[in-house]
Amino acid sequence: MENIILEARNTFSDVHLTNDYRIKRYRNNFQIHLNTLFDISNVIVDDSQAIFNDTALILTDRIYHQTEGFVIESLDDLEDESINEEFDNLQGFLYEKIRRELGMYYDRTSLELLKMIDRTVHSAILSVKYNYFSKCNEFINPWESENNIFTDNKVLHLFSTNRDEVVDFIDDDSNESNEISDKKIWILAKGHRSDTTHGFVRDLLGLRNTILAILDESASSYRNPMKTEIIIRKLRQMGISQDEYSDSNIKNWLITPLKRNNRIGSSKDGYFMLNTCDDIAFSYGSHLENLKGYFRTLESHRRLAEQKNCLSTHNLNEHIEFLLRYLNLPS
Amino acid sequence: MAILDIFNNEIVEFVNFPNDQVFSIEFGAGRGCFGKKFLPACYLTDAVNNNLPHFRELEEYSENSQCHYLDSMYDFINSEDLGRTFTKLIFCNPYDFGVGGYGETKQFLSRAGQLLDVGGEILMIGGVKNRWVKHKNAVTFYEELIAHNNLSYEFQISQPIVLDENHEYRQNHVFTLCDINVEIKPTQMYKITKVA
Repeated sequence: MENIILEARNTFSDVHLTNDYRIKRYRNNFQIHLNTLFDISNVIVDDSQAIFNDTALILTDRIYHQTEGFVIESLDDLEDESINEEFDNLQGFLYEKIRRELGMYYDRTSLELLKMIDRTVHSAILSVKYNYFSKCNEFINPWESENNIFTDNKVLHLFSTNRDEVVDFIDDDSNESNEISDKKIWILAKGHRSDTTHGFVRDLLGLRNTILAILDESASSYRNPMKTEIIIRKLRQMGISQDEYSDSNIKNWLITPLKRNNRIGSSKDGYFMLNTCDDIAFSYGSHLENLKGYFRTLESHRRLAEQKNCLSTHNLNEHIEFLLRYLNLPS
Repeated sequence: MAILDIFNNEIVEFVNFPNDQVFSIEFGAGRGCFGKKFLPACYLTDAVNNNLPHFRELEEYSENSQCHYLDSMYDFINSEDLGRTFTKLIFCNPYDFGVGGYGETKQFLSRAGQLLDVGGEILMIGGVKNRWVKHKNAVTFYEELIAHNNLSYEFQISQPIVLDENHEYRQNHVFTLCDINVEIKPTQMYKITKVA
């Protein structure tokens, strides 16, 4: 484990801030950070408290920081003082490294720049420290992608959901519908240059709520499901471009989490709201048929493996073991 | 059941913010009433009220009521100066402002310096894993700011006190992250005194 901190220090040492602002990959890294952070919070928060299911929820800086703090305080169980001290040293090293790296562009009177350095150091430290949390293997490390903004995209960064906070730095002249225009997280980035660059990602919690509103209007029950393509077309009409989110991004980042969190039901004909017992039963029936199909395939694979004497070298009982574990039955 | 302060009086609302004879102020109070319970002549403020009713608007209220106890909406970082100073500033589990980093600490202490009397103190309460309030961060970043001549005020930072589950604050108060409706347990408390 000690090598992790040493390796991280070497990686940070090798970072040289870019002076090329043409490519904005930092946006994607920040979007992945947001997705993974909120996915973790959804899992660890007590269901009865889950504000993340509030359909009116729009991500704000306060909600972001409270959620991040809650995730850190829930997962960070590193008590070893000597390791914590190593992280304090790594933090000091990073501050110095970034100030040196900025050179003539380091302005200690610029609060925006100082806060960019703070956020960059914070995510860098957590991306490494996460590996020491006892539950680190249960989730994807949300700070790894954010730290990639520094180590791979070679820029410092700062973000805000509040347009007024970053208004001096951005030019937001897009023609978007009202449903999505206020659901943005602005990102400021700075490399080895005097100026900054900026971009934005969407508030996925807000966009998921936009999808719920679309379904509520046109697919309020299992009798009128809406196909994925129609949902995507409606989002495109609102101003979400293919460059920003591909069709598979929309499916994986927006629609699937809604399905996984019991917010919407689905059948082979599309998605619909889960408003009534009939809606729930219809979606259940559809998934049950899928499960039976998968189960029959898995069973026939297992029987074939049995015939070919593969079971001593390959475990093809995992589907049975999974069910027993899920139902809490002795294996 | 009404909420009582440490002197067994019902907590009160101060209606002439910021001009009452009140010398303590809590920022980012959310829907908690920590300052009014434990100080208790204390303003409660926050940047937003989360669309909850004020406790005085309810016929009856208790600590479980869905309400807030704010005397005024006030954003510690961004609101206009109040034109007065205080002897005590209180921060319970701050997130989004505090001693989270070098720049954050500069912003936090600069603002606190404007609002504090000389000899007045900041009460910091929170978890040791919360970077915005972590004692070690406060010491490290304050010392760096002074070394770099990058702060207009001088402060003294006390040693931290452990807030275990038997401490009166933990025994008699439930701390929540109000925007995400999650309970949180502070584990540490310390003071930052304005020296000059």
